[in-house]
Amino acid sequence: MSLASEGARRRTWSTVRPLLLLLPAYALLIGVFAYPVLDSMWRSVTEPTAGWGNYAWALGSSGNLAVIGRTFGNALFATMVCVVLGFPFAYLMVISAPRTRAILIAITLVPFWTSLMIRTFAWIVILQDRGIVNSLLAGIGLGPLELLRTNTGVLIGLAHVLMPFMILPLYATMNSIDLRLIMAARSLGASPFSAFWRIFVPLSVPGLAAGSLLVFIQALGFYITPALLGSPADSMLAQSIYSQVNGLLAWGRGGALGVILLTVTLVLLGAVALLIRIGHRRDVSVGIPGQ
Amino acid sequence: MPASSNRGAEIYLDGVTKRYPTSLALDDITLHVRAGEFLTLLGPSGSGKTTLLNLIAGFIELTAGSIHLDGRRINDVPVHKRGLGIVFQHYALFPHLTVSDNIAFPLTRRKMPKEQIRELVNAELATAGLSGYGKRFPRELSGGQQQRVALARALVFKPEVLLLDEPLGALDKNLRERLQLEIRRIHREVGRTFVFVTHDQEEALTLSDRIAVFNEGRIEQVGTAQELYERPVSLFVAEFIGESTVVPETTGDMAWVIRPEKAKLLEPHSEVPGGCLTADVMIQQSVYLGSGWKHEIVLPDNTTGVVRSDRIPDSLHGVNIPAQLTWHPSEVTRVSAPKRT
Repeated sequence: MSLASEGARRRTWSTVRPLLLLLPAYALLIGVFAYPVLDSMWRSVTEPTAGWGNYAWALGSSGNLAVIGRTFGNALFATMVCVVLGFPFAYLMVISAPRTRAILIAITLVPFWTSLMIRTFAWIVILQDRGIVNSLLAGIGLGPLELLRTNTGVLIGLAHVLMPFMILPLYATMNSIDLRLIMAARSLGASPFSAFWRIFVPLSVPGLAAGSLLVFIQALGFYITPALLGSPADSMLAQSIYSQVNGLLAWGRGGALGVILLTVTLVLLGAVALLIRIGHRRDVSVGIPGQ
Repeated sequence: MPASSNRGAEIYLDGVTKRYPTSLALDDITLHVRAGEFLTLLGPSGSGKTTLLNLIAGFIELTAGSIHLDGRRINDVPVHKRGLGIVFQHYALFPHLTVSDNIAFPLTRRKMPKEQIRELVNAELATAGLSGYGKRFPRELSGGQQQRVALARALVFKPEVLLLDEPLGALDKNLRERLQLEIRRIHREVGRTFVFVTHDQEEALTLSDRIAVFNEGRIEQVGTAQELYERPVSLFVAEFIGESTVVPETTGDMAWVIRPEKAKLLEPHSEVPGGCLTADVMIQQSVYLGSGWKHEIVLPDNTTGVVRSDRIPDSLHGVNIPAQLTWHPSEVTRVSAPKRT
């Protein structure tokens, strides 16, 4: 055997060996993720009879379409709420002194570490007809507002539960922005607002995108929070899937709803990725061509 | 936008003081930067030179004193309205903007018409030797190219004053020297006032019309390179700029600062020329440098010094040779030097 092919063989082995470390993770993913997903897909076109009947049912009834629409609407709205509230919060974390920052991080992380059930039940206490919010409103002569068992309640819960997934990536990105760039922008004639808007905000977009994606995708599949804070009339897709599978043992219909959720999500994500790529290709500001 | 006259603005600092909770960064600085001159703020790190630059730029606020730009008090003028160009040590190029858009930034802030911006940016690119790099992003350029872009961006809006904060600190020696010459040339061509911060005395000597030497929040001396070298007012300046031998007087708190080429080495007990002073020293070693000799000497108080000479007597060649150091008082300076204990 020649030395060259010996070397090549060694190189192949040295690139393959690290991949072996991934095997346990892949095995787990295949067992608990890939197989169930494929199984659901299979059942959605085979149960109770082979064909597209389940999909015709899922997309044919106005009730189902309303659930699908509400699910994406809620996820989008929750994402926007997280952006609007999370961006200033993360910015405050970046610019504040170490002690204040520690407090702000704690405010973000303590709910993050608290059980989802406990947080959702806490919202029930807060939002109920004689809860804190309505007592305060009554105190100033307003209300009562119907919050619990409404879509508003679901949105409040979603936004709160998912907020850390927006704040943490945003904070990580913002923290890596060199604040001397802001000073440079100021020295070049940018007002404080202009320096923030033209330099800081664009540079925090990667964090904003990561956070939005995390929040949006998790919101799409949320079950407990909408189930506890909303009424059955406000149910989201995960609840419909649950009632099909667990309540009615209609694995095929549940599978079809799941596949629809997965497909629409992937299509949306693909569209966003495409938009970002197009945005990158365009010259960003005044569009001065080089020679 | 400042008027684009061809002279720079003059800067007058009057009693400028910056106090932090635990330290005094600048202590009552009064300094007049002449219109169009290249003034370097030179000093070791922590001496206050960068703090002063940041005060002029408007990034930090004064504790006391005032700053005047062409007679106009600018203490309370915000950074973006001072109209000064600033070049940072780490370039501070905007990573999400192309090279062209970086250079165009100050012009778009000033709402200049697009067509004019395009022309000015392309002209700056050409001057910086970066034609064709306009569409690249800063990360795609080398360190030297990035610093050229930073310079172009700070100059494109024709500021009357350019502040440079150790702009060459991150570059290797060769590139540094090339860019020093380039900065010198740019200064000659644009004729603006340049205030340059560095801790590198060689760089200061190469570039500056005048140098202000900083030490512990105060200015020790302001002068041309020649003045600082030949007539240092303090031991600190003498030791910070160039080489010298410091010979304390036997009485009092003064010392002679003798530059290497102003001293002679004689055999012990030989006759000293009239009017010259002398001290006993030990020649540690002598090195031949082609243009002459360099002698490292030790004084009785164990401080070391350097003497340069064209030639020396054969008897003084060798290691650890006793000798006499002589100098003429009119050719050297006397500075206050409290006895080291």
